[in-house]
Amino acid sequence: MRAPVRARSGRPAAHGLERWAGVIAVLVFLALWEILPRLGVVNEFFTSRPSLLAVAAVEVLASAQYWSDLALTMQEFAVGFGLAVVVAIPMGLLIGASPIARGIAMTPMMALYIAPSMILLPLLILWLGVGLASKIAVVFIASYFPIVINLLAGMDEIDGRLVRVGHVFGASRLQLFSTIHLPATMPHLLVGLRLAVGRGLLSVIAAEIFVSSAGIGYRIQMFGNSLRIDRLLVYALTVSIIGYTMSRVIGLLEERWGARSVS
Amino acid sequence: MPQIQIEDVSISYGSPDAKTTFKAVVGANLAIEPGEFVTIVGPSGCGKSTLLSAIAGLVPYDGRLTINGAAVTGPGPDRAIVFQDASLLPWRTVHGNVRFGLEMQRKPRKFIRERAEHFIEMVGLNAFARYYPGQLSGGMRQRVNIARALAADPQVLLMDEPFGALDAQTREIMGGELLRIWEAERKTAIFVTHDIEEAIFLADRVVVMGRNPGRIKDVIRIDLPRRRTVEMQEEPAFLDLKRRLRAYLAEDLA
Amino acid sequence: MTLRRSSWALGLVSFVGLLAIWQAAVSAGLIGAYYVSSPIAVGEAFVAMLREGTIQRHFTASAISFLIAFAIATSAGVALGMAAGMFRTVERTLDPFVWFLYSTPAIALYPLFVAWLGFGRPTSVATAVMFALTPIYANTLTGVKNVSPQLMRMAHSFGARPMDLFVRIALPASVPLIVGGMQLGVGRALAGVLVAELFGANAGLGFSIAYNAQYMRTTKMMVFILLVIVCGLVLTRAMAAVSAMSDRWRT
Repeated sequence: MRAPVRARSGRPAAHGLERWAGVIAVLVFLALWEILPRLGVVNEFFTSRPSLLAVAAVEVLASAQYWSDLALTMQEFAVGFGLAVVVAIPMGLLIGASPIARGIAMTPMMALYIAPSMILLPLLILWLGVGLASKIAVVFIASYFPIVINLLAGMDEIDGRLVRVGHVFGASRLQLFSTIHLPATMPHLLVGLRLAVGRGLLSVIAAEIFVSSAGIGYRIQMFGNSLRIDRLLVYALTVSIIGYTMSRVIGLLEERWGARSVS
Repeated sequence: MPQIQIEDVSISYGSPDAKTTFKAVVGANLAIEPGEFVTIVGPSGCGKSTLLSAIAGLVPYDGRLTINGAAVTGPGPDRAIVFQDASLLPWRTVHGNVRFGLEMQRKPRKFIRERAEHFIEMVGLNAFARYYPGQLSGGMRQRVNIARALAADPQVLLMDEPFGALDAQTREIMGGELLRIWEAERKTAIFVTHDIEEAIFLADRVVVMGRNPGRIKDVIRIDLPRRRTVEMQEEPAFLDLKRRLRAYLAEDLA
Repeated sequence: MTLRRSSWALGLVSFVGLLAIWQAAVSAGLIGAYYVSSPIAVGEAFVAMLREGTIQRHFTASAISFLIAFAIATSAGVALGMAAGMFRTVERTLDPFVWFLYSTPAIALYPLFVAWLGFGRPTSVATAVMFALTPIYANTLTGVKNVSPQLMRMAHSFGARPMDLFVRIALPASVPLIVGGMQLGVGRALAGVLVAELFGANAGLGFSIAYNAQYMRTTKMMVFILLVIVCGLVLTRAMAAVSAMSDRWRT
C-alpha cells in the first residue's frame, strides 16, 4: 500500500503549464488587446491594437525621423552619462579617501541622491536654456549621485583587516589599491552604474517630454497629444528595449565583477 | 498492544525528474509500546531521520505504519517533532514559539497562554520568555524546541538529532534534562542520534540501523535502571553496551 | 549602510556652509540672484507663502497623491509578490509584464496616462504606481521564495493549513525584504508624483516648481525645490526607522 502522504518541500517542480505560463499570458494579453477594441468593448482610439501597432512600427522604423530622434536621445544620454562616470569615479575616490571630507559631503549628496533629479529641470533650463545642454545636465545629475554614493558605500565597507593583511605582506599603495580596494568596491560601483543608467534614461526621456522639439521623449509626448497611441507605443517600446539592453549589459558586468567575486 | 507498529516499511525518494529512485529505508519492522523511550542510532545515510519523518507523516512510504491502530497518512496532533534549532521562528519570542503548535490546533487563547507558560517553566526558561531565538544560546534554543513539542500535547514525541548542533558538555546536560522532563510526562519518545553514548543513556531500547541499503540491523534492550545518572556511563554494564554497539556500527564503515 | 553613521555635526556644518557660500556669492555679485535667488530671499518667500497657505495647499495636494500611490503600489506589489512566491505559475505568468515594467522608464508611459486620464491626480497617481510597483513586487517575491523550507516543514508537522503557512510563516518571514522594497518604492513613488505634477497638473509641489519657473520666479521655485529635497530626506529616514523596527528580532 502506498500511503497517501504528500511530501511538501516548498513548491512542486515545473510542469507543462508552468513552463509556458509566460508565453501564454502574453499571447492572451495580445489577443484580448486585439479583440476587445474590435468588439467595441474598449475604445480603440485610446488603446490601439497590436495589429495597428505592427503597421505603425513598420512605418516608423522606415522613417528617417525615427532614427534621428533615436540618435539625438542617445547622444544626450551618452554625453550626460559619460560625463557623470568620468567625474563621479575620481570624485568618489577623492572624497572617500578622507573621513572628514566624506562626512561633510555626504549629507548634501545624499539629499540630491534621494530627491528626484527631474525637479531640477526647470532650474537647469533657466541656467542653460532649452537646448541640448539642459538635457545633458539633468542626465548628468541623475547619474552622478548614484555612482558617487555607491562608490563611497563600497569604500566605507572595505574591511580594515583586509588592508592590514595587505600591509603585513608588504604591499605597496598601488598594490593595495589594485588588489584590495578596487575589487572590493567594484560590486558597489556596478550597483551605482545600474541605478545611474536607469535614472539617466528616465531623465532624458522626461526632459524631452518636458521641453524639446525632437527626440524620443518629444515624439511620445507629441503622439500622446494627438492620440496616435500606436505610434506612441512604438516609441515607448523603443525606450523599453534600450532600457532592457542596458540593464543586460550591466548584468553581464555584474556576473563578471559583481558581488559574488568578493565573497 | 504496541502504540506504534512498523511492518515491512520501505521508503524511497524519487529524484525531481522522477527517473531514478533512491531507497532510503528497506523492509523495516519495529513495534513501540506506550511510554517507551526508543533511540535510533546509525551512521549517516542509514535512513534513520527518514524513518522518523515517515512516522511523523512528512514523507510517503510503502508498507504498514500505524499509530494506535490507525495508518499514518500525514502529520497529526498525536505526534510532535523536536527539530534542530533552525526550526524556531526567528521573529517570534520564546513564548510565541512555544505557542505555535497549539495555535495550529485552534485551541482557546487563554488555554494556549497558560500551557505555553507551563512548559516554558518546565524547561527552565521562565526568565527568557520574551527573548527572541537569536538572543539565546544553542542549548536554550533546544529547550524551546522541546517545550514547543510538549505544549502541543502529543502522545508520541519525535526527536531528530535535537542536540546534534550542541557542544559535548551542553549535550550531556540537555540529555539529563530531557530524561527529567520525559519522566514527568511519560510520553512515548523516539530519538534519532548518531552518538552511541547518547543513544544508550536515554533509551529503553536502541534500534541500530545500517546503510546500503538503509535498514534495521538489530534492536538492543537497555536494562540500566531508570533515573539514569551521568556516573552510570562509567559502569561496566554501560561500557559493555557501548562496545557492542560500536562493533555493530564499525561493520558498516569497513 | 555605514554611511549613515556620518555624524549629524558634519552634516550640519556642510549645510550651514553651503547656505553661507550661496548667500555670499549672491551678495558679492558673483552670480545673479535671477539665476539662484538667495537663502535670505528663499527664507522670506517661504514664510510669506506659509502665511498665505500656498505651501500647505500644494504640499497637501502632493502628499495625498503620494499616499494613494504608495498605498496602491504597496498592496498590489505585496499581493502579487506573495502570489508569485507561493505559486510558480503565477510567477511565470507575471514575468514578461514585470520585465517590461522593469526595463521601461515608466515616464515613457506618462503621455499614455494623460491620454487616458487627463491632467491631474489620477495621472500623477498612475505614474507613481508604475514607478514604485516593481521594487516592492520583486522584493516580496524574493522574500517568499527564500522562506526557509525547514520552517515550512516544521509548520506542516504541527498541522498547519495552507492559510497558516501563508499568514504565520511566509508573510512574517518576508517582512524585512518587503520593507526593503518599500524603502526603494518610497523614493520612486515620490519621483513619480513630482514628475507627473511637473508636466501637467493644477496643484502640488511639482506643479509649483514648473509654474513658478514659467514666470521666472526663481525664489519661489527654489522654495519648492528645497521643500521636495527635505521631504525626500524625511521620508527616507522614516522608512529606515520602520525597517529597523521590522528587523528588531535580528540580533
